[in-house]
Amino acid sequence: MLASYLSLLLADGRLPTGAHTQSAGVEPALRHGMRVDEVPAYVRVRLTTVTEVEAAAAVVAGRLWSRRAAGEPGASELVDRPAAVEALAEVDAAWRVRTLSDALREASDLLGRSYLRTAAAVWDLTPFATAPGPWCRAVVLGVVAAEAGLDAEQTARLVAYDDVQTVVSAALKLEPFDPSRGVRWVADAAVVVEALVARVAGARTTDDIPAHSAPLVEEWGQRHRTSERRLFRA
Amino acid sequence: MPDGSSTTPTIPTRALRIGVAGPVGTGKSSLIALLCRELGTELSLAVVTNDIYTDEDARFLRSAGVLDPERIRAVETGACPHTAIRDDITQNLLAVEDLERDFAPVDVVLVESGGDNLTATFSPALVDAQFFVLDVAGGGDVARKGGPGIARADALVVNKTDLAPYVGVDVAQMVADAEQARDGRTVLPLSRQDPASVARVRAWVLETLAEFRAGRHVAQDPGPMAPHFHAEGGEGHSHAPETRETHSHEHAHSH
Repeated sequence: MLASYLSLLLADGRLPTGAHTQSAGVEPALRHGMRVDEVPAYVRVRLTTVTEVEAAAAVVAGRLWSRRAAGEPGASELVDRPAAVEALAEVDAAWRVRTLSDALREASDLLGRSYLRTAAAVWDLTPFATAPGPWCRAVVLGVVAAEAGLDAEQTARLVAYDDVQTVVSAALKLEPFDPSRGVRWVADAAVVVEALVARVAGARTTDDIPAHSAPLVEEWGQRHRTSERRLFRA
Repeated sequence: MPDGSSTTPTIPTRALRIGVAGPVGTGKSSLIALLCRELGTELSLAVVTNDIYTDEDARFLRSAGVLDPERIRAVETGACPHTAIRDDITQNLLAVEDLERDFAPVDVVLVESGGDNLTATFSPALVDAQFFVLDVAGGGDVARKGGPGIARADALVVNKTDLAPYVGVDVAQMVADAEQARDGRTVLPLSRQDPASVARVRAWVLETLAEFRAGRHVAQDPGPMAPHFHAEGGEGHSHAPETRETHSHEHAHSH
């Protein structure tokens, strides 16, 4: 399947989407006193809260997009282009109301733009790519993943893996340690990632997107926007 | 679709994008402040900064009061200022395009690199032309040692020439070394206290803008790779580095 190969491409940190400017909140967390050895716990917290919300939104967006492309029964209304974009806008809004910090929403919008910029040069993503944004990263990732042929599980795994790697690689830059330790943290997160995948892979509508939150992650994210001498955007 | 027009010699409608690279402390922000002062009344300008600490340079420029603070934006680089201007230029491109849209029409967008090292240069997909900035206080031999920016940036600025007597540098010699390392490409000695030197830098920007608008300017990659030489034919000749995909990245980290 081409999708397996393309899922590696989409998960690769070398994909030019500006991901190197993001820390998934680990920079403000470390600044507010979290210890480096707490990074694995921080990763677990994200995977069971904010990242699960993001993954579920991506899965719903991906389903909408692939139904539209396949012309499945019941998808006829989505073949109509404005309707497809409208349905995705609902998913975007569903993610947005579940993300309290406007700083984190803006960071996600910027990543969404960057990701879409790169992906739209590779795949034909009209009418989505030409619709006025902003689109949160979850929706963009879901659409791109669906276009690349990834199924719901692969899409959820992509979102989760990207989050784990963003945290660990940013932590490595901020508080250097033996990098193999970070690789082990990423590998160890597999169990929690697969549990997330199992929880969200069946999401079909915006009602299926959970409304978990991580108040401290949001608060730190909010404060980070105005902090001086930061290295990462969020 | 992404903007690939910077390498196509058609008449452009967007702003001329000029990069300012060079080691820490050589005067990149000061050069940008100087250009804003010299050109801000006749041209519509905007600035993107790429500092290691996100907003240091942006704050310096805003406080310099040479440009509407709204026209100065900082881009985070995640401790990778080199990557942000060369490999994954996405965030910079978005910032440049936003400024061009928000303050249309913009004539020139200046993009300042985070002071990384001697080998950091801009991708021609991000900027149309680039300055590389050295200063006399860094030592008279830096220009002779060369490097991609020193040898092949569109213009090399040898800054703070007024300090030369205090740091024991022979400016004429340093400029001659630079010209030799650059195969005759532009070298601009500069002191803020020397109006003639300021006028030459100003004129260079205006000439580059005129060439760009006429569709005659082609963005060049200084490379981190040295141009390679073909032995066949007995006579070595260098050519433009078209083999960018094989370039070596001296800190080949993944993100």
